[in-house]
Amino acid sequence: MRLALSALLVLLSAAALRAGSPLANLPLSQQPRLKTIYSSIHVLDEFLQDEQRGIVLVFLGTECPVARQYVPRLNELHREFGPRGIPLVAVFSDVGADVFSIATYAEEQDLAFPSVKDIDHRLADLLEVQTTPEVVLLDAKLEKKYQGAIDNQFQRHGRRAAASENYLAEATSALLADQPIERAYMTPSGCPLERTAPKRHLRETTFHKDIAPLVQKHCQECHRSGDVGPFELVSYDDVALNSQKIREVVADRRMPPWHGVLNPEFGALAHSRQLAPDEVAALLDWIDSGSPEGDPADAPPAVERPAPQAWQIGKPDFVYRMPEPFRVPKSGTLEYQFFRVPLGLKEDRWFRAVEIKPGKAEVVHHVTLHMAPSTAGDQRFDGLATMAQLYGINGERAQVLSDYVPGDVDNAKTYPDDQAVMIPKNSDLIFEVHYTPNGRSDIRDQSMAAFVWADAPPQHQVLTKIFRKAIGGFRIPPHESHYRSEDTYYFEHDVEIDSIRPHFHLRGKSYRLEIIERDPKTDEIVSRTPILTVPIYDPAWQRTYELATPLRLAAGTELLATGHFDNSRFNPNNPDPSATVLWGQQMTDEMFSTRFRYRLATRTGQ
Amino acid sequence: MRHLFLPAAFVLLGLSVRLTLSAEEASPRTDDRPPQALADALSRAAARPADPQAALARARSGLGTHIDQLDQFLSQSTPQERQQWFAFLGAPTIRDELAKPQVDVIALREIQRRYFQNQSGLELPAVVAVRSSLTDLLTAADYASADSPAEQYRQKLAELEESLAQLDANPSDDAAQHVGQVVAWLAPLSNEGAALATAVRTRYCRSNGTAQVSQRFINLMLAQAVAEQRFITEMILGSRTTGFAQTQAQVLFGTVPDQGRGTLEVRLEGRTDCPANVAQRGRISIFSSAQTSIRASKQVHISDLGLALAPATAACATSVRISDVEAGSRLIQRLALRRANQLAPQAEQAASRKAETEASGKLDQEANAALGQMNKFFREQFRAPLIRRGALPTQLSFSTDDQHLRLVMAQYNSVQLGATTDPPQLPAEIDLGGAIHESLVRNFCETLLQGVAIEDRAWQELMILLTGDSPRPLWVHDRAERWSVTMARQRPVVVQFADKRMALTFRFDRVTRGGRHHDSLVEIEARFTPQITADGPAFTRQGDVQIRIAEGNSPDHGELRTFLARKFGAVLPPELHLSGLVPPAGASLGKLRQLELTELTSDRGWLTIGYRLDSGRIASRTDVRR
Repeated sequence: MRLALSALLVLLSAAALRAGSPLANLPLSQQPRLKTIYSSIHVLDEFLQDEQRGIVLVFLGTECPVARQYVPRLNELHREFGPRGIPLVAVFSDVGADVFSIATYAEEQDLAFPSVKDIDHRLADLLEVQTTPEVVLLDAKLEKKYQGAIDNQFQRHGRRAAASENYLAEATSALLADQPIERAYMTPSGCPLERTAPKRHLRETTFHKDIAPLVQKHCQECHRSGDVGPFELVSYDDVALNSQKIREVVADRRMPPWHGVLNPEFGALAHSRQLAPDEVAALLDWIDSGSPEGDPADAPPAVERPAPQAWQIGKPDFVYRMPEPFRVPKSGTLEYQFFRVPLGLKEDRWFRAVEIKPGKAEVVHHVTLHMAPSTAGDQRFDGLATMAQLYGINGERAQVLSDYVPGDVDNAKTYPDDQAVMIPKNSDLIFEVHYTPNGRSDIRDQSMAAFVWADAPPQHQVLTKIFRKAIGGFRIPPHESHYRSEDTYYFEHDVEIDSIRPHFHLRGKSYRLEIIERDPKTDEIVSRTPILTVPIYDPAWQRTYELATPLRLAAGTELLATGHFDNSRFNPNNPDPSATVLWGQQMTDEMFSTRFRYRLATRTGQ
Repeated sequence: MRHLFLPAAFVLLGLSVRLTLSAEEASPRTDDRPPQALADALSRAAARPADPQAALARARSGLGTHIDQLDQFLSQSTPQERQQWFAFLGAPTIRDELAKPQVDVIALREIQRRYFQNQSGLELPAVVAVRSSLTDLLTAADYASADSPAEQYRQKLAELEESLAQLDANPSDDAAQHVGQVVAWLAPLSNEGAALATAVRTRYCRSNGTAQVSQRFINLMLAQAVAEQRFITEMILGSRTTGFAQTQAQVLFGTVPDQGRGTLEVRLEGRTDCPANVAQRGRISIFSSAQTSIRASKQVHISDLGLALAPATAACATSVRISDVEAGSRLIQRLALRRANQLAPQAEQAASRKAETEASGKLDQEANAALGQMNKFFREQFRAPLIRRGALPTQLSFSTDDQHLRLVMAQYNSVQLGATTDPPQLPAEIDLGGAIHESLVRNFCETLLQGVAIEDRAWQELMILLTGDSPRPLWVHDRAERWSVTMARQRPVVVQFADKRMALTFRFDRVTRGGRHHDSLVEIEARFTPQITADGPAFTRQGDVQIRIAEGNSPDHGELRTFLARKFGAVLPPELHLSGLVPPAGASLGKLRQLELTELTSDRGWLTIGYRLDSGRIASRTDVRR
């Protein structure tokens, strides 16, 4: 009797699954397009490696509470079956899910497997997915083997303490063992997939009246003649002729490049380039309406900006250059170079503005400006030994004045009137420069730093602190898409934080900084308060997140920084997914650090 | 070639610094000495107890002589400097005391402390000699003032015999410490005492540290290619010769068999091509090409005093090919060509000698500059501070064979013993490794840490150095109670290496929290199992950290115990990974990542650690041909 029932169940399940798979014989060009959190487009075939036995597509919704409940279980299944050849991939088909919200969800929920946006929900349509969460187990030929619920623990209107039936795990195990799958379909319970786009009434927007002010505010700083943007966005033609590019990057929140999210409890980020939701809507409406120009009389006055080559801090009091030009070889990998510039200061000197300019930006990856005692005048500064001297083992020695890094358009720092940075007497400047040869010969760089001095000691001394994960702290395995690294920080004194800068190299994926509290008896974390999250870290845009309102931290407050690394081939910056990645200077190695600019909570001199 | 010797110097220096954690003076190898020698020395010492007054007189005389020598030494400086140093060293007081029939022991002890400060200059031999003879005088004075010196002498000898027997039967730190103290007491009192001390040290003070580094590892770190292109202008046989010179060479390191010291040979081997030279003499231009083979070498000797350099030698051979001659007329051109061909061998000779002078000069210049820095660092940052603290290894012997640079050392002072067993033999395949005996750690820490207060921040920094992380219980901030511990005067740090495990014990005389002090002996002990991991050695703690508090029954001690358990549970964690010492990937230090930990054993008092290079990866880089 039991056998007969089982057989009947298998038959019913098979019928429900519907024989075959609409994906199995679909040409690559017709396969649904899947967009990763890095906005790169792939098709399903690319998620199947030669040695893989199959794949589990997990349809999730960023707004679905049932899906959220299942994330820990899904992570377990990925860790169990991924190494055995059947990894999980999270698919977001809801029409309202954009890349940024998907990345934010993946970061918040700590999804251990890749997440993709199902463009126009074609994958969900082909697989007849109706619900989130819903899983589809495909074999290596993309044949459906199981579809439906993950297990029977969570449902839309109810939950069990634990699952008594593990449908997905059983089906996956059976597939791995080349055994028949007893239940090919189990009805999922969760949130309906949102396929219907809202029928919004497009606002009547014109370029000169509505869009030009946005472009001035958010785009033209870089997209103008002579600056870093790849094309200009100044005239109507500039914008209209690039409207589809603009539409894509704005919808994905890739432009303006701004990746950090500050917990509103701590105020707002200064210099934020992010478009507000209504600004995004206006821009998309304008493009979707055919990019009407409108009346030029409505145009805002042109914004006067300093020339790209001018000092953004205004007229400097003094400009220090590297002692002599450095000849960058045509090719190869260079260790960081260090150049000492004696200052000859007999008294402490305060500055209220600083800006670094690379001599030849095309070969300068970054410049970090350090202070070092001039008493060690005969000390050589080169190679990794210098890194240890200047930074200490995990950043505790670093005395960094400022830096220039890729994409940090706020490199020019002008501090409020009551703040300044001190250069102690008898100090020298050390230029730390990372050169990346670009195939051209005879390029000579002579980077420089400009200062505006403060007339008198300020009320508040501006300080910098770097916390860096120790060298032996991580070893990122090949192909690992979600490698976690954690580090805890604290300040010795009560401080006010003015800016936060996370730092990774090319495998950096996401970043989170939290205040945590622990149970004093068990050391378990009992509360977490996020400060800053960067759901998608982009090494080309290493931002310093300036806080509009200083964050006050009591001495000893525990900060937890969590960084994730993506060493998979779906990370478009990854130079070699097959490498085991260790700590190192070069971009092909990794680092994980956080830099704070802060002030002591008590005033200088008190 | 730029900066070639600086990294070399630091690697070698780094090696020797690491090795000092286990070092000392040439202790005779004593295995082959029969125990009878010790028994005879004991008998003679027992038969002739030291005469207190003779001992005192001898010590007075010794100190007086050394004070005079110090005075003579200081006289080489300015009168003002001499006076300041003489006063700082308490020499006038010492002289005054020596002039009295009975010395003031308390005053002299006060002066003695000054000699152990980490003050530059106190490491000089003339100062160290006064320090040593002052210690002898204080010992003799105590002996002479005893109620019954003869009885004290007999008692000390009896204790010594008992401790020696225990040391043979069941070696322990207590017995070793006691033996060390007694022989230090006996040595200055009489010739028989000195002979007995020598006999004991001969038998119980074997070397307690060894290390070896392979030639291929040295090459991995230091060998480098030289590629240089420059414009040359030379006068050769009266002609002004110009052209471009391209040099391709390798700098390689070899170890030269030498039992008395370590000897490395730096070799520069390569070739310089001058594809288009023009020699000008009057209106005649001679066009030629030349090739010069370069072989230069220089020996570097390594001893306990640092590095010493032999002059570089070079052997170069130039071959010249004349391709064309230009002159005012065809006749002169023919004559000039004939003459040029005739002179070619001489030109080759001249160019070869010039190249030799340049190659050897460059090797000398580079090496001398870099090694000068290294020796300065060695003398000022390593040797001198250890001498001042009385912690310079008594043996620091380097040697080389055709594959390795080796170091043997012994770390003990006049009141300490060395290893009681010979060091384990390091396999020849080990590219970087060493063995340390538990006595080395004990002695070194006792010399440097006895009575030293170590504050919370220092423990935190230690953990950052070792692990790269700052454990939360060790955080130092404005809202945390500040604390410190004062290391015990005897055996402040004790390690035991046995049965594949190691035990580490910290011993404190005082624990301070805020303004409160706890003033009895506290011992913190943890036992670890060492393990080989991909990232190097790791240590897994066995059980909890043990806390022993002398007079530990007070109710207050429960809180102290909890406090210490939290702090030292972080210093001695359940899993100790030395992540702070892991070199970064890439660059020069990244080469260290090629070392694979293959040996990590803890047995019979010795901890042995050894790394090997992946032979497949390294072979192409260290092909050093002799």
